[in-house]
Amino acid sequence: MNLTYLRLEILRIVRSPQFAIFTIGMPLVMFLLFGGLFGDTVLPNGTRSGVVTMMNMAAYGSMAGALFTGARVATERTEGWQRQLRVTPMRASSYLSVKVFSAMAMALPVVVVIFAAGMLRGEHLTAGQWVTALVSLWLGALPFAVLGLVAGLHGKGDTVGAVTGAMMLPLGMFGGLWMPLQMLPDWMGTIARFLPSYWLGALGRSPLTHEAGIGTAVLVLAAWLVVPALVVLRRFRLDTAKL
Amino acid sequence: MMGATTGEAAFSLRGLAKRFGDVRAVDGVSVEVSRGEVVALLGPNGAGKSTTIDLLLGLARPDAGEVRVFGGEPRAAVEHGRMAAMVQNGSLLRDMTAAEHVTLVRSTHQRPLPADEIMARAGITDFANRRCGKLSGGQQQRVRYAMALAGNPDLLVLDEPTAALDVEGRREFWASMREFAASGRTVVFATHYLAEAEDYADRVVLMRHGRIAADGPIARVRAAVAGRVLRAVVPGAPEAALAALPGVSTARLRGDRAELACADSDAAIRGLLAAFPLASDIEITAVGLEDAFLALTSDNAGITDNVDNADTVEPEGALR
Repeated sequence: MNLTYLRLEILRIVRSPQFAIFTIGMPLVMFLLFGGLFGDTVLPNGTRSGVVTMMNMAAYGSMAGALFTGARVATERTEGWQRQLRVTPMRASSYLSVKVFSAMAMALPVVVVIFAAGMLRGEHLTAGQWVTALVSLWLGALPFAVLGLVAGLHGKGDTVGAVTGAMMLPLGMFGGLWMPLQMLPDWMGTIARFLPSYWLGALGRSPLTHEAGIGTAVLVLAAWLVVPALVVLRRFRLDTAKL
Repeated sequence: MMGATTGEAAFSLRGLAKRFGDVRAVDGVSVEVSRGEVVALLGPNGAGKSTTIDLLLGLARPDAGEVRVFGGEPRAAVEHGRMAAMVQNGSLLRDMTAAEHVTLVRSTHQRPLPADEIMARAGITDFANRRCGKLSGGQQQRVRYAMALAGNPDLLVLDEPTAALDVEGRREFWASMREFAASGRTVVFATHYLAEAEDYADRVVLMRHGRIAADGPIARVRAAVAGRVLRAVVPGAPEAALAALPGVSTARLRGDRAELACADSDAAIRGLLAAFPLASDIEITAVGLEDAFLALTSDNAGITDNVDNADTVEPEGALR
């Protein structure tokens, strides 16, 4: 891992804040909207709807922040930055890990901002619950960072941006982040259990609802991490050979 | 000449071949470059220069043949900081400053040069803190040069290094390159400017259609490719008879006017006068290196359009 590069990457994100503002802004607005409308409804399991919406939107934002790293990678690839790096001693693994870590650096502030908004709206959690949820939602973004890389290494900049955007829809919807799965047909609920977004949401909600086995969530997310990671490694080798 | 050659190989390319679909971009290229040499890879666009350079740098894998750089794989030479390059179509990051690019590349090297020295040598100190998106093409090119210098390489590979530079920029760039080469380092640069090859290289490798058309010191390449053209009015002479004259490579008739491309113009004129005593208005002109370059690197080239097949101006096996 090249820490100098990681620092510069994070600096770049800070310098071009439009993207970050959008990534944080959308789930934040949705949280304030839905949380405001239905926040005080008490769900059958006894939790308030507002807190669940907060977790779901934080999960959605964390996922989006990590996933959109793909568009950046694709742009760098098409514009020739990767080519430039290939004539330096930097290894492909170093480039890829910097990209994954900078994706994680994108995911963290999204969760933090939404939690801060939740606190301001008066959501009450114990310190332990806040911290557990924050860490779970943040680390749970890891598979999405790698999924973003998969997209980024396969397409062109603008295409990957669009593809990533299109992926967000089923991931958010079928993953039960936008509306409770109970409101959707059963077959969608079945699909949901194969999606990493569902388990990311479950991971976020678990400190409150204890609805899902954390073990299952971790396993599913780990599978969604390992498989794309293998694709990335394979792709990056081929790509080097192709240029 | 700039560099002091030690005789040890900086790199060698043996029987390299690379095709893209039906196009043989590189078709049997073999070159060995000694340490300290400054070599120009000369040829028109599409001659295979960039592909050759990609193969040398390990950015592409050859379909056939072998690349050795300082006795090892190209990637190993890059990772050890021994080979560095300015590639074509490499981009910089718009939202990072020139100095940050240098910082980044330095961080990838075990023993980088000091940042100040890199920036001074590449001439980017004045705009070090500007973001690359705001730099001119020439300034960006210098940032890429700085990135190539960062690891203090023994072999510097430059693909069309002055493409984006104005006249002054070119002058400064070559001055800096000379300084680099003067310390006994090896430089290979691709260019389609004959003047750059003439002025800055010890040795010229001329490429055409993915093959090496000539390879040697500029003077030898010049001698090998530069023939003479004999023009005369020769009433009633058949073209075939003119082409068969001693020393003549090809002949073309336009009315009574003959244009003979000659490998040996002395023999040609003696033969012409013996066979056609009525020949008049005789004129012999040397084909300059520029013309010879055109003749060698294109199929039906400009001024020497009497030379049907460029190969004919090249003496058999002269420089291969």
